[in-house]
Amino acid sequence: MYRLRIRTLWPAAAAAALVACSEDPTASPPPFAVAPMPDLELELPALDALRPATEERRRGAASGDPPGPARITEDWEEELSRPIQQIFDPRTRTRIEGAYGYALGLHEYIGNIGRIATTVQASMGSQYLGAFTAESQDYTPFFFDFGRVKTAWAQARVSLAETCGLEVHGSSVHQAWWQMYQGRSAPMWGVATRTSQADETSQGGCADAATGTRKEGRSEPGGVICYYKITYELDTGIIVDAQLLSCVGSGDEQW
Amino acid sequence: MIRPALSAPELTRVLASKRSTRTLLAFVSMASLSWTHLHGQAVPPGRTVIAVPDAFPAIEARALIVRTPEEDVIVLREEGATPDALLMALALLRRLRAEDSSPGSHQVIPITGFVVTREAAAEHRRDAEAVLRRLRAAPPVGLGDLGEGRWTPLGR
Repeated sequence: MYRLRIRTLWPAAAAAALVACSEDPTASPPPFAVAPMPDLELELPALDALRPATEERRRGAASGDPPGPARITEDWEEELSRPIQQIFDPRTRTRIEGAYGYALGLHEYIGNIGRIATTVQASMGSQYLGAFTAESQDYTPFFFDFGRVKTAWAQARVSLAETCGLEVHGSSVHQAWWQMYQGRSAPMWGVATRTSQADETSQGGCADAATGTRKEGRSEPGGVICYYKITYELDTGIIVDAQLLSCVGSGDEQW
Repeated sequence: MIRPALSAPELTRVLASKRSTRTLLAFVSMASLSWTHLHGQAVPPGRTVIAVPDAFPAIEARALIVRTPEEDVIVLREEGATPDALLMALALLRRLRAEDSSPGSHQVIPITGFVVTREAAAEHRRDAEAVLRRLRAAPPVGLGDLGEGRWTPLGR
């Protein structure tokens, strides 16, 4: 009886062993196996280069070089630096008007290039929500400047539609320098840099006490969310549109 | 692996019939569909996917929403994958969909910050927690340009 059973069962056992040892990738998985998670084929542009649309304003001769003073060697610095005050009254002001929060940076300067980067930052209480920087650079041809005092300004804004209880902060980096012509390799001197901060401006409290404290009991989450939107071409990664930083109220949405 | 829509005897019989040309075309297209299903690994169109990459992109954002004509992907930071973050990202996605239900081009929406002032109902928080548990239990796979990480569809 025992021998008969072995003789009856061994082909099936051998077949099972063969199946178990085979590495045929096309073999069907056992029914209790967990289905493997497929890869997510997500294609994105270079994300570290993404930023909201900078409202850059450049006045004067155009240049293909990136804005800002070029790196210069210590020799150049020693030879060309001049102990003159070139930036006067650097300041930043903030305000909230309509659906936008603004930060305006200003300074007067001597030099044929003036540059300013003004940042507006939105927050609620102590929580940071987002920031946006606007940049401006003004150029006057070196030989026609005659050391005149000029004004540089930049204004950054953030959309605050449908929100309340937000604060807007502002800060600027002010720069001025001399340069024979615009270009990263062009010699420059008298580079001056100063910073300024604005007083905080508050949007005011919310009518229904929807902010400031966490409350429960409603079906949907409520709060403020800040974001910007970049539209790009998948094939080339080229950014075709970049929306301003926006803060919106959230509370009417359903899960 | 190509999964034929017809067995070999059926195919032989069909090929021998008068309508062989039309049926052969149908067979080829069905086999192609099976190939795409198994090897393209495409997420069905219109789905919402939650992903957590091992290394979040070097960008100032608490989360990202990536919108494509096929799907919407919410990308969370590993340390920031909380029910609040997920619910707020979903609330924003709902708003973006209301503005543009199916974008013709690709969009990246970095969420620079959020403040929750009113918590969602307990059942919705439980739903969000369940999705995040499923996400953490998912095996590590490739996330395309985001590198390695995990993902899960929003719905079951």
